[in-house]
Amino acid sequence: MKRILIIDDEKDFCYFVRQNLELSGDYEVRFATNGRAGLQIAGKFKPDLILLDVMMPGMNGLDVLKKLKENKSTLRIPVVFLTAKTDTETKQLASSLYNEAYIEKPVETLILREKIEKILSRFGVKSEKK
Amino acid sequence: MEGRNVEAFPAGSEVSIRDIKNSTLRILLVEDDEDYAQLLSFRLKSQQNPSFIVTCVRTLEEGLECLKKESIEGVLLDLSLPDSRGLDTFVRFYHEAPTVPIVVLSNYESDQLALEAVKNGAQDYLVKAHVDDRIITRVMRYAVERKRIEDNLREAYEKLKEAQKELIQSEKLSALGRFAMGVAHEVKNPLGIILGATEFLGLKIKNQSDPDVQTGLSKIKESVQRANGIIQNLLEFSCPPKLGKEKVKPEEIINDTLELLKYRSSLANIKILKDFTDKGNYFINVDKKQMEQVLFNLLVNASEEMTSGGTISLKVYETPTSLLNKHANLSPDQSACVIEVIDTGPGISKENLSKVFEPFFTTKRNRGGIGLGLSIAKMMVENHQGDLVVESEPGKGTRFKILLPMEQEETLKRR
Repeated sequence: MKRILIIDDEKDFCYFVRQNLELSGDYEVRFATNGRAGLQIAGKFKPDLILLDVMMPGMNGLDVLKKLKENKSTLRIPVVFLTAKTDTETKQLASSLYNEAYIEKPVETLILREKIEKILSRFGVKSEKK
Repeated sequence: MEGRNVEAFPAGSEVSIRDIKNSTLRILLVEDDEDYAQLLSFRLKSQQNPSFIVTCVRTLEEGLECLKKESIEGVLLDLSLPDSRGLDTFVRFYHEAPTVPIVVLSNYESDQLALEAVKNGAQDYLVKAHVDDRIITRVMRYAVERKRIEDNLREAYEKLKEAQKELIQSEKLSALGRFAMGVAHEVKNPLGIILGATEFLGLKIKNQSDPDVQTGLSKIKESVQRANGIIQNLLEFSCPPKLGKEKVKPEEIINDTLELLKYRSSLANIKILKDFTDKGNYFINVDKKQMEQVLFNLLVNASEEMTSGGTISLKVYETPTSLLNKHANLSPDQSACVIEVIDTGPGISKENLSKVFEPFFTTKRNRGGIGLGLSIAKMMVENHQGDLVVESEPGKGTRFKILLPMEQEETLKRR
């Protein structure tokens, strides 16, 4: 099972992404609806990949990404922005940071899975059946 | 032009002033009183700084004819002519020749008439009995100079208005951009939830064979994609992406776009013809993705208008810009690459043709169109210093031309 963490303030969005990924049987998914909770879960859950929203109240996605990269235990976790934010400035800023991809909402699960798999295989993450 | 006494004062004759220098003014004198016309001509021709060339005619009609034929810099206009009387003479003349300075001549000293004439655009009002050499010279010189200044001012004002319009437009676009980005964020989030929930329901009930449920779910997904497409269009219109230019062959853009459209159902009955006259022996410097988007848009539009089939021809050729109609963005000393999309569809009515590039104009509102596709396409081509133009007649199909400038280097690199 590959572990995925979603950090997004839209709880319903998190819920359905989790359900759709988990129904495939390949993933164990957790989610957090704010940046601080996300950082805490990331430290304990040790996800193989993080799906991170950009625009969140309090700590935004870019701040969360910086914190993840400052922490040795989460430094190497690939982060994918999954966001409704579409402006070029944010995309450029995101690309200058250590994120692996920038996916715009809404996204079909099939496409999301393809991207996740591509990144995970690049990071050498293989499925470990529980 | 009606003549008058040829010996004494031939109609339309030019009274040249000796020793014409750079400060020569060409004056038209519209006066039916021959003696007075001769006197005034004499007075003018005796001047040297400036010197005058005077053309004399005796009717309003002759005066207007003369203006069309000669390059006249100022007019002395008698108000009492055989074919026109009073202030109406001036009004009619000015209406036909608003750009030429006109000084009114009258037998009567009337402040009211003088004021009316000036209010209507006359440069000055002269009572014939008071005209002497000094006055006529000064008045004509000042009238021409004042008119020049007026014209310069008007031109500057027009430029200012145009700049203000552009500024307002750019401010509007900027505000629209901020608005669109805000809307995009607020709408894309719920769209993400709808899509996720729909997929989830689909997975949960996939073993149930009720076709109505599957149709319903797929319609929801399609609608999400459509709504998302509209938002993308709004964003592209209001926040155009930066150009990532590369050297590319025009036919490569066409072939790659056709590849994207391969499975599109609206193109199933459409025959595509390709005519690459120049055999793709040159490159253009463009953002390939944007040009593909432009072409994609034109092809989808064309195919959607040909529901019972037809032909779309794609042509590529190079042409000197001078052979094209005037297009603001294209420099006349450059070559242009032209990509034509010609369809055999129903064509566009004259009324709609002038609006096709207007934002939010659509004839497909009931089919989900919001009218941004062509305005975005035109904007994208214009951002490449090119132009997108359309020619169409009802029943005769439509021809879109993408005109793109070719750099000197690109022309030289022809192989």
